[in-house]
Amino acid sequence: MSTQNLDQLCAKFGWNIADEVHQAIGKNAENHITKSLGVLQEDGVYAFFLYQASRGQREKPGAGKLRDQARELLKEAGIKGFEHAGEPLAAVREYLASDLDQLLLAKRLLEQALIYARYHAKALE
Amino acid sequence: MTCQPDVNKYYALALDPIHVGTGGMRLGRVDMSIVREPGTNVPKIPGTSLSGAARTYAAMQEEGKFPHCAGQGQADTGRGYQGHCGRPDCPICVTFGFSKGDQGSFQGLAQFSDARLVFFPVHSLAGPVWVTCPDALKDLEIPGAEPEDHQVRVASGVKASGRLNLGWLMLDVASNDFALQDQVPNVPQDILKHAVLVSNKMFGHIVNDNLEVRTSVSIDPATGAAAERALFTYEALPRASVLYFEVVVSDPQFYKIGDKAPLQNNGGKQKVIKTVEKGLTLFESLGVGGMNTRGMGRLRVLNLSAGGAE
Ligand SMILES: [Zn+2]
Repeated sequence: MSTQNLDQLCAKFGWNIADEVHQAIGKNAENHITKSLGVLQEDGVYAFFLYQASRGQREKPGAGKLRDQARELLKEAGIKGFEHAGEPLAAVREYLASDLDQLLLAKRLLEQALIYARYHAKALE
Repeated sequence: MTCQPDVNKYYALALDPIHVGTGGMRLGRVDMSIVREPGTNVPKIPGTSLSGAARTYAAMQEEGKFPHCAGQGQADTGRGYQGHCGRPDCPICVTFGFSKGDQGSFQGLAQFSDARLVFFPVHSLAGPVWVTCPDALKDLEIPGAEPEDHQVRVASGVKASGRLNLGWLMLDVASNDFALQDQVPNVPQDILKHAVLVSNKMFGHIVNDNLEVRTSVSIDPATGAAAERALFTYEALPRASVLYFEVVVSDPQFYKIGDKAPLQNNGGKQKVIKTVEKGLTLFESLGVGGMNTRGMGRLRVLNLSAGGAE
């Protein structure tokens, strides 16, 4: 694999996330992104994807967009289990959870993208 | 006669969550993030915050020194503030330094290091444990073999076999012989008995994933009510974190203020140490860092009476 600027990857997906979640749920976007980031930091990658799956009517459209963008980010970064970008919960359960380095990298990338997304979403309001 | 500065070592226990902010110069999950070590991303309390608070609290306890010797140096006649006195017999100005514009300045004989995190509380299946790592212990001159990233070494009080979770991370217990009891006499035994050693790399991850995050509202000073849309979040080092810092004290006899050796007839080096410790004593009730009025910032320095452990 050629050298890859991971921050650029996070920046790209951070923008995509903010844009799509904002289109889907409007002014709730920043709040949803911030809460998702909190779940990711305190409970990990699996909990983050589970959180997206568990949202109620108001946040659901945004949560779906966030899940898809997060999955694409991990795919582009070459994270184990996400090569074929299937169901993210299954990918974490079956591959990521058993590889600490890959898990930490995935979490770090998602964190950075969500931090950017959070500030982009603020600016979109 | 040679100059041998004293290195006084202090341990501090957070009695409240501690927030020493970055002034917004950082993007994060929260609106107000705390200061971190650049290389490791581990939170710390900058030495400037410690010495600033210690200066103010020491001046409060010294006759006739508050507020002028406590705060910023330059006089502000409009506000009736005379600035630092800059006298060679002033324990505050000699200990913490002074600045009087064109009339000169003095660096101060007590130099504070940053306070670095040594033991960080995390919840686990075995109850609360205090995480540390070889890099943090190296400061205390305690050697320790670094576990693999997926492993922990635990102290005898941690009832775990096989695996232990630290927050959401599950790690293998490599051994339960991690004993620090005799090596850090000032830290409460309960913390040492529940100490857990992780690799240097994992320490930063675990600390950052388990910081305290709170939401608060800012109060509009004009109305006394919560300002509209003023909900903000901040992070803090959790209560029961243990930090370590050093204060290097130089001997006044090697310095001159004007043409006088500082504190010549006022206690010399012992006076400098006493002044530092007088200031540190009030950390326990008045706190360091931001949001003291919201129940944050109280810090107990654990080994004051000893004059700092050698
Ligand atoms: Zn003074």
